[in-house]
Amino acid sequence: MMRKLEEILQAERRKVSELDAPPEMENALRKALSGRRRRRINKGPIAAVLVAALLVCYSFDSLAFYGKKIMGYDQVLTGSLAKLNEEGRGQKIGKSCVFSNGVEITFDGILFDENELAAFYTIRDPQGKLGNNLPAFHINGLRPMGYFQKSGHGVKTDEHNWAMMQNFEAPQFYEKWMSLEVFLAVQSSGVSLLPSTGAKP
Amino acid sequence: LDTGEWIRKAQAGDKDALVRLVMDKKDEYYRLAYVYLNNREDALDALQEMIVLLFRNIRKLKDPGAFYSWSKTILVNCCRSALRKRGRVVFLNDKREEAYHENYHRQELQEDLERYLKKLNRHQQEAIRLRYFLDMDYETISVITGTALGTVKSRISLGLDRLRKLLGGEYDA
Repeated sequence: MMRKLEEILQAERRKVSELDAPPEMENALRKALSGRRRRRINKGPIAAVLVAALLVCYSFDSLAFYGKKIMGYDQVLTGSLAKLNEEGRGQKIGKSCVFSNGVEITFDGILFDENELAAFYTIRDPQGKLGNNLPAFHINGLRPMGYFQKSGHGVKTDEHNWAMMQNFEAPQFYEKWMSLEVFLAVQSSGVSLLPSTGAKP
Repeated sequence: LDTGEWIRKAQAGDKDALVRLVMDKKDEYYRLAYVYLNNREDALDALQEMIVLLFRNIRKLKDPGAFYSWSKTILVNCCRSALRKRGRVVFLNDKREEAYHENYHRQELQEDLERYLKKLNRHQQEAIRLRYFLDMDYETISVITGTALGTVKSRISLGLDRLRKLLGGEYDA
């Protein structure tokens, strides 16, 4: 039985060894290759596009601000925030809202580090109706309670304008988009609420 | 020009050099494909698929001396995927159940071998075909099928045992 199997295998080997490549093989190979171009995947540009996309998506606003400084707030800036501002590490906001009594609040920009976030805003009060009322703020973000305002201060630049800085709790690392709500007591009509949105990278 | 130089040319993108390298051992390539696929058209298809892959990847080949084993490994993979695509077609009328006699015709013996080989598992079948039909040594089989040497040996010996039993069952009857 052993012998039989070996014989059969031998016979098969002989058969295979007599097989020659068919004459059309060369043409078939050339045909397969014709028109083929070696794919060269240059990974450089792909990586560059990815990096650029990440940068743009993630921190467009702060990139736009990078290198600029929040001007006009020299007097209200202190300590490390002043240094951040020197380094141009802020984010431009540039949004404003007008309340029913004509008071206009404009957010120029924010600065933040791991301890606090500072928002810079100007108040314009053409009719002199603001009196001693200052706006109140709250920042909403992913953190359930949002971020509470801390101290704020500022200077009156002329009869109708204030340059102010308002501190908040520092944003958590996971925050990407945050919105700022501004409350201002307007005479006796209660509280007017105007959310203004801002983004943090 | 020696093989090494043809390989360098092929690596630089020269298609003729690549075709030449393969055609230098055309019978070996063709027989390898044929042993897997058992017909000329499928073997040629697999060879075409192989050369396209060689062309695309030859720059990754670091050791030019390994060209032939590398390209045969690729051919083996092309054949395997062709077999997978072909699927397992079992013809019921292949199942011959009648008794066999001593004056067994060689041709029939070989048909039986093919039939029994198909009863082995895919790996044993492959190893036996390469070892006995192409007369490859264990080392080469191990390289081109990407299998450990010990595994190749055991697949062959288990496969042979099985074949003997299958054949024996009929002859002893």
